[in-house]
Amino acid sequence: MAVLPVVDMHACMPLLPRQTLATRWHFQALAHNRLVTRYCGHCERHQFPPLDWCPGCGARDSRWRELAGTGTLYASTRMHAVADAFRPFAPVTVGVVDLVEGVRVLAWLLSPELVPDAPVQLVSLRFDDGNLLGARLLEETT
Amino acid sequence: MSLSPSVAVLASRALPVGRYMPGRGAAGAVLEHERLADVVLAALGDAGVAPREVGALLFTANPPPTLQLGFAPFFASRLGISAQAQMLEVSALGATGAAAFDLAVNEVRLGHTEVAVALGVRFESQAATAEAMAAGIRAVGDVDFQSVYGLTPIAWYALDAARYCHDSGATRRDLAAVAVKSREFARRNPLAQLRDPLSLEAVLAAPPIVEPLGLFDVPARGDGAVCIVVGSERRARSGARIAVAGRGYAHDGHHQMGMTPHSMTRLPAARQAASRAMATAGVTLDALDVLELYAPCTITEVLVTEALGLFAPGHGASAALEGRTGPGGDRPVNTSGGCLSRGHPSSITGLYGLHEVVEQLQHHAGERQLPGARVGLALAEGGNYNTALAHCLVREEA
Repeated sequence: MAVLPVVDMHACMPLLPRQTLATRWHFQALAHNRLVTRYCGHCERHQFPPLDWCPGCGARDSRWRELAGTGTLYASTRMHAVADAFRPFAPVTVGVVDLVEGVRVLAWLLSPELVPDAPVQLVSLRFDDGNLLGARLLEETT
Repeated sequence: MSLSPSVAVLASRALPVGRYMPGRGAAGAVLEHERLADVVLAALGDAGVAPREVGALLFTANPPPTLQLGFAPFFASRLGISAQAQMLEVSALGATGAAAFDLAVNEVRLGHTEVAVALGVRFESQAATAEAMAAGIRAVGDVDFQSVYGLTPIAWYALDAARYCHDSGATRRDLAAVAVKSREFARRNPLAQLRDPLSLEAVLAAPPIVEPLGLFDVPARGDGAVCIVVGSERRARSGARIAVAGRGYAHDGHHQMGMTPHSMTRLPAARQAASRAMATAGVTLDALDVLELYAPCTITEVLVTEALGLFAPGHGASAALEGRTGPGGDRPVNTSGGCLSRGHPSSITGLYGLHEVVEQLQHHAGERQLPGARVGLALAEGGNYNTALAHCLVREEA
């Protein structure tokens, strides 16, 4: 199983996500630097964000699965204008990352110079009160 | 299959986009309902409609800084209107203005009333930008899984731009051409917020906001008010008639981005909504003289012109640079100056787009008039063009 590399942020999260009975396992796993989400056995596909139902077929029996944490960068933007909560981190570079399991996630890019289609490795950005996904160039030999 | 029974635009009035929102405690302030009353009374006067004849009022929902809640019945009562068919405050992200118009047209089409009004006012220029951004990030992402990364509405368009430039080889300079030609149109539009000349060099030298987009690639904040009166065929006055000939709606199934990888630059909802509007009106793309396309950023106009089929994928930006979409071009787009220069009070931008189409079809567009304009398309969107609502208007000679 893939443990995501950890980067310590030495700060509180800009915004705190709400955790529900249906999603808390994702957040608890991320606190342990692992990325898990739901997988629907009928559709044979992962979903992200995790839901208590499958948006493909409506089934309510999707299972938790761990993701490898690797994929490719679809696009990114360096944001100079940000909401107040994000000012301590500005400029913030956000990337859209397509994971090998076929789901699309957002992540803060640790390598702002990355261009679309670059292979990336997700990392766990460890804040004092939670975690966000980060991404950096995937090293060929890990 | 044209829309039936027929509904016409009887009149349209708009306030120049600008800064009207009074500061806290300002003396002699003109408030939202007073600004809106100015355009509504003028539009009803143009239409030859008395307030008591208005059966339906479709408002765009007001932004958070608006103090007066219960705005619809409040405003109606101040104008002496007692709506017998419908009165709503409509909200549909960026498509809000177009949705208000859509519902107003429906009230007439369904026979609920002879006259309906789509109207809206937006005061937000004095509200703190940071507060607006904090609200914005909650609208354009899953609050718990995406907003926490801080993407603002324009940052999503910046992602589109990054991908588009990567795929097509377009540069910031190509995108900047959209800002320049928008300003050239706005200089000819008395309703436009930004009318000073703007050079390509100035756009390129502007500070980055959400890379690759700079200050002039993104909209300024502004206030405004619009009122469009629609009515049954019977109510149309003599002379040329502006018929609401077609409409189309589509949703691509996403909220900003899908759960699985997909192109964020193709905007299928824009293509579908516009195609449906043209099909109901019985017109083709080549027949469209006037195009008012909701495009808050330079990249958005590029993508939506490609989605509609005006230009091949990857060629929308170069079309702007070659002058094809600007004044005197063979495919003029957003003759009002668009969101970038006419201005973008977001909830009523859809109404401003329709207003421009009406002015062009009435042949009242002054210096920016497209000669002989007969068919127009107004397109509004929500999210990253996840939803799109299109209206096709046609000038019918008496």
